[in-house]
Amino acid sequence: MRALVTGATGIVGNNLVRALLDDGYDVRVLVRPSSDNTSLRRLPVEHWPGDILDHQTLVGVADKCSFVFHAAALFAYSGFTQDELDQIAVDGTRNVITAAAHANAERIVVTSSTVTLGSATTPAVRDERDTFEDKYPSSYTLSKVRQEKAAFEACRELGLELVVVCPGLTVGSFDYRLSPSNASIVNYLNDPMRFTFPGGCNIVSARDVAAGHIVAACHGAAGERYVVGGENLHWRDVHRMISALGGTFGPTYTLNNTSTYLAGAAAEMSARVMGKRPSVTRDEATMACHYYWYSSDAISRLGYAATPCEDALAEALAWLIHRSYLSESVVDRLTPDDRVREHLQALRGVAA
Amino acid sequence: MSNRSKLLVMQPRDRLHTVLVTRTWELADFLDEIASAEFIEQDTRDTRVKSASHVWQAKPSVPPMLAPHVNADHFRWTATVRWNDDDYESRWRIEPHALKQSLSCDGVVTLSEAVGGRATQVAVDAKIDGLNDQQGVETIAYRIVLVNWQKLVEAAVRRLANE
Repeated sequence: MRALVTGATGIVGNNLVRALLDDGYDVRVLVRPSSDNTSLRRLPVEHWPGDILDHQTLVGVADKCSFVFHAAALFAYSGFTQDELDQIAVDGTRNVITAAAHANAERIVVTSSTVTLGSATTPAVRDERDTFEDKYPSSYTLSKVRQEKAAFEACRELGLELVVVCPGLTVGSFDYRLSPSNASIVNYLNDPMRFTFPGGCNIVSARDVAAGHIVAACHGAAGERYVVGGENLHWRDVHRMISALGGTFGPTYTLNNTSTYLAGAAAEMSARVMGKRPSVTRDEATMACHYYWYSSDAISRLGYAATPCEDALAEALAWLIHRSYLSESVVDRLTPDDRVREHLQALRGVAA
Repeated sequence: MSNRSKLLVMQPRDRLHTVLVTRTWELADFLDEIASAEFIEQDTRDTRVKSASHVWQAKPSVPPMLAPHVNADHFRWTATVRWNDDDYESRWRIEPHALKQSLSCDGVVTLSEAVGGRATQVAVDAKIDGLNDQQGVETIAYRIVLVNWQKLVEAAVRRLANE
């Protein structure tokens, strides 16, 4: 059986390609000619050059594909305007859905995000029935909300079955462009003060997100959204785990809402002066003060099972060390625990 | 090597189940590497649990000069499958004729509904004993067994598509 994956060079798409190959699928990947294909090297996949924004390059891309997994996205909290984010999220999704419908695909699985289910200012767990009511959403969050709406509308018009997957904060391996989720680990370890934040998040392994996509494709109900997440944790507990896995100190002090926001503003200002991408933005700082806690019960009933958060973070930390996303001076001060070392050995074995 | 494989096929579970339970030996025609499949016996006294045994004969693909030295039993095995209609699960056992005493290979095949009932996910779990922990040989053996189950299911799908 053949599956098409868009966004195959991103962390979700790449883990998904690997999971599909493990499950015996023939995989076709849509990649922009200008994309860095390092993450697809040595994978037995069929390359289809094209761009989700250029619908002519999508003619025939989904032919003979039972499933289309649309994981292509612009996941960024800085450097792009709302229009640019919307164009990829909305127009790109419509184009892929049109191609899937013309090819008579069985169903399309669109990768969204748990941010579309909203957040809470108190430690409350949300699920697929919750609606988005955030007062000051980031541009990225808005683009994902608009993407979902466009996807449901287009699939209804074209008579294509749609399943939407909403992953939590996805961390792990095969992230060749350092996504904001893995970057949150880098930022914490790079911070000499090792501050933590007042809110909470739902951390999920990229491998689990990939598995969740396949569960949703095979067993999900058409027209449904599924949260594919892991454990709901306070940021201080996430940071405590990262410190323990890295064999280092922290977290030291929980910033309050105002100081977290000011830290984001300072990072943006400093990045502007230096002409670099900010390590953290005001949007991310605001989000870190909220609770992004979600229940994966619906997809768990279909056979999904999440890896413990500590294991997901161990793999992510190994990946970040392996790919040199952490500076040498930071790595030199770490004493990674056995789980991180095991992952590192495995990664070095693959690289060799 | 994992001793589990999964496969999704675009045929409804009931149709696939029926072919796998009642028409297994007819699938030999759809398998390139199989010379024949001979039905031996079946037990259908229980309407929900049915079992059947077949002798399978693979096409020997050895160089001609080695052919005289190869025993036909090396390419022959008996497969016994016990299907349970209630949970769409089968327990199977394969006995290679050449290594009947030393090797045992059995497992479970589970069929679950998928893609809103239009498809079936087939999960095959295998267990092989008697290889004395020779990891390389074990890996090859698991691969052969799982790939052959996959081919059998694909043959069933092709047969259904031709109906």
